[in-house]
Amino acid sequence: MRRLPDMDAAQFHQWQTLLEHRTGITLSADRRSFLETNIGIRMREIGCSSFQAYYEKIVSGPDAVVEWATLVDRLTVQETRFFRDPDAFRLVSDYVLTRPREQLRKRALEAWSVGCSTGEEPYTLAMVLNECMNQLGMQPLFGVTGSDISKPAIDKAGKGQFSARKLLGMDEVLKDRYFRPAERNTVEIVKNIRDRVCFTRLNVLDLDTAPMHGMNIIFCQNLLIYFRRWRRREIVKRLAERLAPGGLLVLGQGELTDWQPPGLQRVPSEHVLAWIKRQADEE
Amino acid sequence: MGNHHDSIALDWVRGEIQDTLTQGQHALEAYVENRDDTARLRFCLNYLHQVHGTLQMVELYGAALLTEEMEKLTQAILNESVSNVDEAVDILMQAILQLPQYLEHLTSSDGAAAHAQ
Repeated sequence: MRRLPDMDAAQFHQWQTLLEHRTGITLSADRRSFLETNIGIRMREIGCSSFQAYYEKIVSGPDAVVEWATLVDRLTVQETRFFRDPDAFRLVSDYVLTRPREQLRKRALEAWSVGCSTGEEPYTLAMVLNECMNQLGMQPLFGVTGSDISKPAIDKAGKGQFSARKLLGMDEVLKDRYFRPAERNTVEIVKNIRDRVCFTRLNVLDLDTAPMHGMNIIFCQNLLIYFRRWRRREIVKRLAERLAPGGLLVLGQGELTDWQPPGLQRVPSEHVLAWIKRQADEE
Repeated sequence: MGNHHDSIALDWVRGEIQDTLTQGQHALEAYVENRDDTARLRFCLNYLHQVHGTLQMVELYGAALLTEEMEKLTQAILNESVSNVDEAVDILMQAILQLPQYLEHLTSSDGAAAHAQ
């Protein structure tokens, strides 16, 4: 296999700028080899031999839109797990179980997993909400939306099929209740959970036009770490606007420090970084 | 529509839009079957917004405008601000079914030329 030329500093800067401009993600200098490797792999696949030629293809080529959709998947998709942050899901469960029943009866619960990658987090949320509704003896008419910038990732998520090894360490009861064996050592999420989850492509830089409003629970973990501080705050502000009064926002530990988002009340927890949106009359 | 919109991007877009609209259609049907299940209507709205974004990406602004209207109508049903839900749902369903035909027409050479003017 022919070796690609190294990416020089100017080229790195060019790609870094493009990625940040289009996705908000900022790559520090120590991530140069990550960028170089992933772009290089894609260039080999399509027989492109220079970073410059590929850059031009991405910004102005005839199929720039299509190629960008492929590349953005390679540069942004993160490995994730079911029940990755057990403390956070316990908080969600406590939160739902302590809501006034009247409120839950009036309007179906809606949750949103921002930057959902291949779907493990929104499916986990759906399982948690389903458990809560069962416990409360209510109809499971909740909805969970998973959004991600990568179309291949949300396509995979939508299929609801995962490698069986993804279930290692999961509670046996939950495993039996929510997964079925499928072809070739894979498992499939059961239909009644898949029906409660929807996946959609969304760039977090476009949150101002996003159709999600009045969300009861918003999960945004392991996404903000890739953004500059001022942008993290912008994103959190936008997400807070999308919460219903009394809604819960959950971020990853340490992802937003030294800043109190306006209109939100910190949930007193050592293990979870979360806020509740104040009711209008508390403002 | 500029020259850079050749068939690769349009074919890709058409496939993606068709798939997403089908998902939207199923979500809307599920809502029609159970009007208490507003989460499904939200799903339909999410899918429509995605189609809207895709159409904007390839600069098909006419079709993008139509999907924007479809989004607004869905949002209005969700907000319980339409007077006749049956009628609104019917219109929405018709639009979901007709949009692919419109795009089909656009991607035929005559349609593309007409759109460019």
